[in-house]
Amino acid sequence: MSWGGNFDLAWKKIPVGKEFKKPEELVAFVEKETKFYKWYSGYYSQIAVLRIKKDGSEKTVNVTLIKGKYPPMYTPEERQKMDFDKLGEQPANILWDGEWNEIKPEDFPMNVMEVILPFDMSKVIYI
Amino acid sequence: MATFEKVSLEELNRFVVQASWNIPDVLSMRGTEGVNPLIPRQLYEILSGFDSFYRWNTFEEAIIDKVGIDGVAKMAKSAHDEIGTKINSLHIWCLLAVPFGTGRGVLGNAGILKYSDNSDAMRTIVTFYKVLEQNFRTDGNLWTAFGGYKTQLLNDKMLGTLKNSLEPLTAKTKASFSRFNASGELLAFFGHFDCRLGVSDQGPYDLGDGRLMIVRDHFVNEYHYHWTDVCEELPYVYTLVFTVDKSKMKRWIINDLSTSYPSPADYQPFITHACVFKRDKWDSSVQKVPLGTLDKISEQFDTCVTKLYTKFERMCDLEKALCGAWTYSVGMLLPFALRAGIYEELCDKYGMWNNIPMVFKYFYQVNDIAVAALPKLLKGEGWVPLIP
Repeated sequence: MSWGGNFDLAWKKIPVGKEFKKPEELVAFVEKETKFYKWYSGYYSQIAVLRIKKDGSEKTVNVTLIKGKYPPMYTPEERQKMDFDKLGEQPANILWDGEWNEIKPEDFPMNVMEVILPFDMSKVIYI
Repeated sequence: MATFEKVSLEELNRFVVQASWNIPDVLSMRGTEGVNPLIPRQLYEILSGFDSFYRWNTFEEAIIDKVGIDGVAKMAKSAHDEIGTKINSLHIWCLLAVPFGTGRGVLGNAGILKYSDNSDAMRTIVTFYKVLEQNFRTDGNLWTAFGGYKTQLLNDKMLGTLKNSLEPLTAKTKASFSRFNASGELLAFFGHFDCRLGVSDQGPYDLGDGRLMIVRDHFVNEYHYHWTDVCEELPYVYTLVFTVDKSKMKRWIINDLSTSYPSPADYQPFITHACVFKRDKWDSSVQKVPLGTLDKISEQFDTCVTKLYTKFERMCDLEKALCGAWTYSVGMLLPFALRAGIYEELCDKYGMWNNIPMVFKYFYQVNDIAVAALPKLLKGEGWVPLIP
């Protein structure tokens, strides 16, 4: 997969410059620094591009994060009762088998130079 | 061939990823519908995907040739002061979702095409969609999910007209209105081969007086389809405008499929005021319909539904699949073609109703392909970036 290498059209580039020893540390960083997509069918999602250093060279990889059940197949009764704001307070998980995800658990520890967000979520309205 | 600036391959790549998140959202919300044993929906959705993926760019470029990109933007803005129009959220959303999802997604998953195929056509499709959506929506967002799940289109003048037309409901007129709403929705769905292209909600509009207003179109006589001849005595569309008591509602969401998801789900007890309008043809003037006539019209709806059932029952699977596929491959572009004044030309010169050979080549295999592909599509997979 390729996005176009220099991400000139990317919305936000967050300098990192540190090593994440475990996936949970990367997840915590992305959660803290970015705004997730909030989908009222019952999940939150984020896709970020990571510029990483591996074996002396740099490359970019996608990571996909999810909160809630995915795919979000709920009954109407379940969805009526859901507290979507509370769902957003749950910790995120990496969607390891997602089509957009290019990292694996064995890639950690991972030296991340930069987190790049391709899309502008700053103007999105949550309800 | 139209000359206009298409999105770049890089922007197309980014756009496809963003769209992939929207798809499981709308499909899983929609997943509450039941299966119809009479109408092969899954089959016709996929067949229409083949046609739309390979041909829509040609029709869209013909539209752009005729009216220009500015003309496309103008037709999207027409929704700001019109009711009873198929220039709505669902039709615009489908212009992106169907060729990419049920077309490219299924064909790619089945290994029939490479995801990099047809990239120039996809650039046209995405450009056409972007111009429409960004001029249609009034909040600058591309999807309702990014705008708080609201579809607030109408300008103040139109909103004022609708608000002033509302009538308080008595017990009798409330019962009539509820029946009219239910019967009309059933006919609108059925006339469109059990898909939701026949219905459309917009709003909610907060009137500032404790009421939320919803504007709902029921297209009960889409006369461009041959099977709706049984509905020929009906107007093209009825528009229902009603308000609910805001204090009783936890939430009212309208998603990209122009579909409401109110909470509580049963909002009927909280309807306070209503009025109804109609348009005889897609470009006719709007006329108000007295609430006292709704019961008689509901009877007409019921008669039409019965006639449609009889008609569909006599069709073989192939005919039902083709008719259903046409509601997508022709029907989704229809309002834009009509408004551009190019519908007849698309039929006669471009063969808009003539399905591509691939539809018939894979007709009997599509169900097998669908079984493997559709669960992945539900997760938004199949929206793979092109590899430059």
